[in-house]
Amino acid sequence: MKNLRWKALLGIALVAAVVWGLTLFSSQGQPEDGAAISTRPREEEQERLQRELKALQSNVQAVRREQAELAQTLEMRRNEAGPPSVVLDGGSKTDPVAASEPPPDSSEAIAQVTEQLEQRLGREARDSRWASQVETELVRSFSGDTFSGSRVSRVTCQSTLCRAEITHDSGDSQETFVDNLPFVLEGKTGFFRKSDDPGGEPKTLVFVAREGAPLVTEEDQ
Amino acid sequence: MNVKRAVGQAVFCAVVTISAVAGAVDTKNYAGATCQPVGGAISYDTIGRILNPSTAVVASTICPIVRDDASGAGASWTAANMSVIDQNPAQGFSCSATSRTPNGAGGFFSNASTGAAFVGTATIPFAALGKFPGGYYAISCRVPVRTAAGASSFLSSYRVTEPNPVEP
Repeated sequence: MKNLRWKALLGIALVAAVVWGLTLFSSQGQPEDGAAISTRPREEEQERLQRELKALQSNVQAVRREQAELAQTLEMRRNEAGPPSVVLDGGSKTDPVAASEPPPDSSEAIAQVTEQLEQRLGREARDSRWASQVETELVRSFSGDTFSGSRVSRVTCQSTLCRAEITHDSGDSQETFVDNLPFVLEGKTGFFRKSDDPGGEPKTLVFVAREGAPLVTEEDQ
Repeated sequence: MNVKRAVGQAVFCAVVTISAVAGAVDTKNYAGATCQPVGGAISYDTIGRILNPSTAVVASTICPIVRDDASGAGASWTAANMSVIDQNPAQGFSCSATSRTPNGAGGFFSNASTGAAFVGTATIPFAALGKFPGGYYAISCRVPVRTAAGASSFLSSYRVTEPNPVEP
């Protein structure tokens, strides 16, 4: 019985020793295995980063090439357009690309207004009393000292609208006429258009509405 | 009952909002001191008005207008006027509003004045004009001389209302 007890104790001690040994072995081997597992992704990561770096470098080179091509194209366009005509106070020239947005061309709009007023004048019947009186007034108004360099070529009035053609000795006379025009037509509404013939004699076309009558009617618009 | 009241209030608010938007206008008020001298002499007082200090020479000024709607369709403004104090019994303010093409080669104009004999505070209205795409507006005025008794005439302010509100 005593012998059996010792055998059992010895068996238990043996099993415990085996278990401990196995535990020790596994605990020593695990870090090595773990280290081996973790080094593999690190190498892959480095390779991936190197690949990305190469791709980025090639992209940068492509962008630089593109930038150089754009600069070359811009320079060619500048040369084609000629030197910029505007020089700022400081002497620096305006960038033709930045200054390339001109104001809208209103020559068509002004031609349209002129045409509308011409047509309206053509449609109106003549109110002889009013027309004669205003024609005389306009000739007198446009013939004062203020307008010494300007001459009335023709004045026509109908019933609500008058048209006058003025010829000027010079561009300065024309500017003086246009600047002072509204002030000699007290209480009136009108429209003017400078002649667009650069080489010809300066002329101004003027339309004046009868007091109380609109210059541009809704029908015109 | 509460639901009906809430719906009624919502409808009322919507109607008020729509009315406000539909009736929206673009009005700007300018101090007279915004105007620039172009002939004669101009003085500025400390409350934003301009006056003619001369007893001999009528002063000419040009008053710029900020145009928000740069399109070419419709009327230039729904209302435009100049507020003045005319203290000269022998001369009046004469002002002209203009709507011109971008290069100034053509345009509409409207003249109005206080009349030579008028003395007092006046608002000079200008008729609505046509407009040009990208063109500009301005008002020019002739300010009466100071009287021998030392009474100056003032261009106090001006106001222009454009018909189309511009989204910020």
